[in-house]
Parts: sequence; C-alpha cells; structure tokens
Amino acid sequence: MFITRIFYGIAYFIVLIIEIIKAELDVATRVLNGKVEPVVFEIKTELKRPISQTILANSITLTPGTLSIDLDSENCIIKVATISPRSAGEVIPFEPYIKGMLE
Amino acid sequence: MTDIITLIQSAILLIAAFLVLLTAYGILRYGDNIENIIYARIHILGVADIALIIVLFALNEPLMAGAYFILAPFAAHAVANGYFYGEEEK
Repeated sequence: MFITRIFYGIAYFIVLIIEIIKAELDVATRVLNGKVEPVVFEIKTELKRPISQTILANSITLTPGTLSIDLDSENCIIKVATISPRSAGEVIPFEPYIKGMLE
Repeated sequence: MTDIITLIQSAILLIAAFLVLLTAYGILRYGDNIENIIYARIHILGVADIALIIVLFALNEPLMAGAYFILAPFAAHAVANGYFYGEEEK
C-alpha cells in the first residue's frame, strides 16, 4: 500500500532524528570522560534492494558514534565502526522502518 | 514576537558553538596509542556536522541544511573506506 509507505517514511524520519540527538549527547559525554574504544565489525541486514541498503548505510554514518565503512550489496553485509562495543540491534534501530518504506 | 524568535536562535547558536568547541577538544585530546583511533576522530567530527545542520536550520536556510544532511555522511564514509583498505595493503 502506498499510504503505508508514506507512514513508514514519516516514522523513519522521526526515529532517525531521535537517534541522532541521543547519539550526539552520548558522543559528547564520551569526549569529556574519555571512554573511547573504537571497534570494527560486520552486521547482516535483511534489506535486499540496493537503494534501501544505501539509505541504511547513510543513516548509520549520519548518526554520530557509528560509521559504515563498506557495503557488500550481494551478501547484504555492512561493515560498521562504532565508538564503543555494542550489539547489532543498537546500531540499526531504523531498519524495520526502511523495510516498510522501500521493500 | 520577533524577540522570542531571536532568543531561540541565540540559544541554539550558543549550544552549537559549545558542541563545536567540544569537537575541537575531542580531536586533539587522544594520542595515537589507542587502536583504530582515526575512527573515533571521525565519530567526533560527526558531532560538529550535526551541530552545523542545527545552526543552518536556525539561521533559516533549510535547503542548505538538507543538502548538508545528505552529503555529510558521504565524506565521512569516503575517509573511513580509504583508511580501511589502505591499512589492509600495508
């Protein structure tokens, strides 16, 4: 349904802005107290279309504290660098919204 | 009415200026002894990106803020990708 996709798009933007503000405050506190431990790992995504994978990688980079290094489009793997060790679900909280919007 | 808008703009500008100062401090404070420290520096530069997007919205330039919102991750991604594969060849 087209209306559902528009609803998911609006929800995606709201979630993205909330996540950006949370991550911004998190990185700002990490600058002050010095708890920095950068790690690189791979996460697997459910998204199949290249455009939704690109939007997901762009959102990851836009959030301070997480950074997408490489995107393997055929195997659906994104290589991610984060400022502290965290699980894959915390890196991509907006994946279901992109899935509802574009898949 | 215009007084309130000016006050809000000034508050946003002050917060963003504090964040940019914090970014400068964060880039300079860490030495090279931590592993993968360049990724941490790129993460800290992301704070300045978001602060500047907020400033462009506050200064009534939404088109420029939108362009920055889309284009800022490309630069960070390019730097990180180049560093990752450059390290692999060494």
